[in-house]
Amino acid sequence: MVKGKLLMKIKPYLFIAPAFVFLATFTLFPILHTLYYSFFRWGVLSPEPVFIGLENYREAFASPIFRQVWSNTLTYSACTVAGTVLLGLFLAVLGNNERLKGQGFFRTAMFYPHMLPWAVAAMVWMWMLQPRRGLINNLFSLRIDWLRSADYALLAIIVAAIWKGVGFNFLLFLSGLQSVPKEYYEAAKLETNSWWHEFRYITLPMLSPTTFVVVLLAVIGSFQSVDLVYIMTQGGPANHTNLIIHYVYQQGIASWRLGYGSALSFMLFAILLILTAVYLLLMEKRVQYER
Amino acid sequence: MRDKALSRKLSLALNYLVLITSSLLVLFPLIWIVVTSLKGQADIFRAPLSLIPTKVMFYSNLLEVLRRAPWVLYFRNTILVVSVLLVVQLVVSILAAYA
Repeated sequence: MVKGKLLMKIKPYLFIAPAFVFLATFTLFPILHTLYYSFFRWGVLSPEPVFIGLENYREAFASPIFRQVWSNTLTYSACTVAGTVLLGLFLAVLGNNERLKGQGFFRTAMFYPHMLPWAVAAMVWMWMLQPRRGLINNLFSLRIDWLRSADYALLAIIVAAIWKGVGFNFLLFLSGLQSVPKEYYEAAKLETNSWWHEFRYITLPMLSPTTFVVVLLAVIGSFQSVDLVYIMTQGGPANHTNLIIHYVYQQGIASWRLGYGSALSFMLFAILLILTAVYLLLMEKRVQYER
Repeated sequence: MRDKALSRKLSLALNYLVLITSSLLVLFPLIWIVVTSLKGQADIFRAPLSLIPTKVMFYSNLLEVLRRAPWVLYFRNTILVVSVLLVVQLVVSILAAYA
């Protein structure tokens, strides 16, 4: 009898153990390991790690490239999150109309970029942005070398990222919209004729759980994006498109400065953790789950 | 009453217009890549770009792709990675979710 009780008590831990072991070895341990080595000078010039305290962090904050990289990352993140979420919401509201025919076509057309690998998307856009034979310059009779211009390179990458990301949000918003009971709109028809009131007082509140998840995923995804930059510009011209993950890769792996790279990645981790925690705390209360 | 029906029709038409335009915008890169994959070298570099290749080179382009890289190996690798990943992920996360 006692034995059965004990088994009941440890049973949940047994079930969670495989996931926990995985998380511990492949997530928790690397994070702590990274934190540890961020206090060392370790690289080509000092093959044995040398303890230097906070020197790596000081170097990062003193470096103009680091500041440039963060400003790029914040610009990219703000633009892609705003672009994909607002466009996705807008198109989903338009698409959620049962009088509309060809729903399947619209959904497929919007969603397919999400199914392409990032590398393929990058190649497609590189080909379209190519200065002499590219589609975009020929279509609008321009002569812009998009990916090698300090002014346009980041813009080009943002446009490609929005193209790639909008369909996913569109689909999530559409499924969120379809679970809003129709009675609410019918009731609203008696009170008001304004689509804005319907949107503001029925659609948005009922959609808030979806919006919550969509924005969270979009923010985290935008901070982690590296594929487009790695393939299309390698951070150039002169770091104008260098995003934080790509900078970590350049410093930590390509230049083999493991200590400095560790400090950079730990900072990114800390910032994402704080951002996510603040977002969860702030928004959790404002999301309406009950229907 | 007729006014209302008209405005409903108008809003539906506007709805279609926006959705079709944006779908085509999103679809266009795909269409462009498919068209380019059918073109030969000469067509790709011809001065005014065109949606219709003068000579469809689908078969020879495909053959070149297959010859240049060991695709069978690549696909086998991908399938291996995906199936192992899926099985392990499912087992681990189902157990964790049950707990």
